Amino acid sequence: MTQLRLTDLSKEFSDQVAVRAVNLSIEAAEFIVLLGPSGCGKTTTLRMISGLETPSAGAILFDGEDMTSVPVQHRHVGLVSQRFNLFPHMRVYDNVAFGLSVRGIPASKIKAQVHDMLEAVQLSEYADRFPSQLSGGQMQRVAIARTLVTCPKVLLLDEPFASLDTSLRTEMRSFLKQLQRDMGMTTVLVTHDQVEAMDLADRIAVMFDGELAQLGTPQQVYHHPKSERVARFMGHSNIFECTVLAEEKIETPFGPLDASTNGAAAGRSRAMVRYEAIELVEPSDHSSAQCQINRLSGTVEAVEFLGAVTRCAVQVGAHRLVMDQPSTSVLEVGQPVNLQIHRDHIGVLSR
Amino acid sequence: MASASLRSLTFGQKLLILAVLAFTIGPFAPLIIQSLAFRWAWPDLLPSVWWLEQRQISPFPLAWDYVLSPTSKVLEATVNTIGIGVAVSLLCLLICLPAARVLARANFRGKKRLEFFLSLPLLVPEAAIGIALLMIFTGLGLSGTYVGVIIVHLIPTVPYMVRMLTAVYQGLDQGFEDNARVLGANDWQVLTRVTLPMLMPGVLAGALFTFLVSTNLFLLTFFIGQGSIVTLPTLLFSQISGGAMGATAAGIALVASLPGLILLVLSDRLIREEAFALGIGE
Repeated sequence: MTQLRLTDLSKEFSDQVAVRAVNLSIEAAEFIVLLGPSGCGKTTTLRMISGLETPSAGAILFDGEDMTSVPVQHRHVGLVSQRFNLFPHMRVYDNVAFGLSVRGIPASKIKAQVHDMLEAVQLSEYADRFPSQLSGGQMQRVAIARTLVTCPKVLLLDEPFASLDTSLRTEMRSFLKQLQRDMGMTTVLVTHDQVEAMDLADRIAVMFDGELAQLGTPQQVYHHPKSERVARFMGHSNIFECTVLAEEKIETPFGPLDASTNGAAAGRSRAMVRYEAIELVEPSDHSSAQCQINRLSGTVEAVEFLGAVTRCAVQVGAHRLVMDQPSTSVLEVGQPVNLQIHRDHIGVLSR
Repeated sequence: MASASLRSLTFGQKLLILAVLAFTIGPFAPLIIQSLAFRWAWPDLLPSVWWLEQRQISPFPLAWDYVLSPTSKVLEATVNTIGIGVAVSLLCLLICLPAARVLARANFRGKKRLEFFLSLPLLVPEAAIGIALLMIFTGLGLSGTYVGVIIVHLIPTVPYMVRMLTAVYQGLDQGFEDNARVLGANDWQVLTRVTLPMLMPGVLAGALFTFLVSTNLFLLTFFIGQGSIVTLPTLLFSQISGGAMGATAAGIALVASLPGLILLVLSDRLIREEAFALGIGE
């Protein structure tokens, strides 16, 4: 188990800056996901950790030891890439044995280890096949086995599910998650898919334009994004102008609301509410004062049936709020509704 | 399976295949007839006297008797031709593999111009290159030597080989080599265990092509070899330079076409096996 630290890691290509002073501390056995749109520098960061790319500045440390100038083949990292890159001229057995045999491990030892690993990924009976004779999921498992058999200090995964179809992707995701937990391996995965990121990660590092935008647990990043960009990237939300009045108090187009201000300074800002954080409540005259906090009333303007949820646009005063309700509740256009938003789910965004 | 697909062809397609066969095999027919003739004078369409009718006089076809005898130098020429061909193919690979790697992977200023420059030897007439090089090589003491002939054979082969291998390299995703290195392989292991095996079909095709070009080169071999290095093409030209096509010339021509034919069959099998190993044959 290896602790991984990136300090001021930067990469400049001839015409642009790909990664700008990224600082990241990854605990031993932690599963980190680098999440961001294409071209945000996440893959470059991964390639720098693997040693395939040389940083322009900054350092990479494994357990406090500087690895920045250690060549790829001596870093003992594992890399599974999007296209798997199984060696097409080698059988499954030889693909898995490759990392051991190039390190000069005796054949008898290799045999036992490869067989154990093939068993772990449930591919024992495919040892004599060529990669071209395998399905996508099997190729992926060979790619993972080939990497894990070398006991890498850090496991690096570059969009490993991108080339699989949807149902297989979910299956491979839970397979990988289980394997990572079992082996307790420090893992860095790169993806642009926020659902995948939230499912797998202990912590998510969101990257934009080569910079680390936010680092946190999936819950933190999803429900308490620091910036509007992170908020939009992680999922649907209502984003509106607001004025921070005091701690936990903001003025919005929907009236004064209690909100988590995240220490934002008083003044004009923007706030966000996730679609599913808006609750539908019954109008009741006799409720306690507590229940009256962040209560809004409006009219349903539009209804979209999306299967699991029904998405409704609700007109509140001069503005609209969009909310997701379980599709079991029936809402009709023109219907007056009462809404409530818990203060924890109204987040003030930094500019 | 082959016969089934042959039957499914239309009449027109069969006719086309026949035409292709006639064009490829056709030219060999007069050579074979000539080499077995005893007397074949103009304007006879076929030999007036066949060797078979005169077998009491010569127990062996006259032409072949000469071709296979030591006086004809055919054996020496064959050994030279194959030896030079193999050496040229290997050297050409050695030069072109690294060059193709750079051309396929790297981007640098003037790359397009360099690519054009590399194909220049194909545009300049061989005679011009030959005469110019003969002067230089004579000064260097390389004319009339194997080394000189091998170097001069690289001139028309390198441009083809570089182009072929560049295309082959472009088809090889760098990810395979990256993954091999991450798995702990050093540069040599990456080259011998991943890159070369994966490039093998292309490398084989390139080497075969180089070998064929080399074994067919007359003018450059003639200039630089100075007559002291006999190869099948130079031997053949010395036989037909008078304009007449004798039985012995036909025999030598047939021998000269053998290395290519053998190699074609061999490489076809090799490439097919390679393709099968890569799973393409499935």
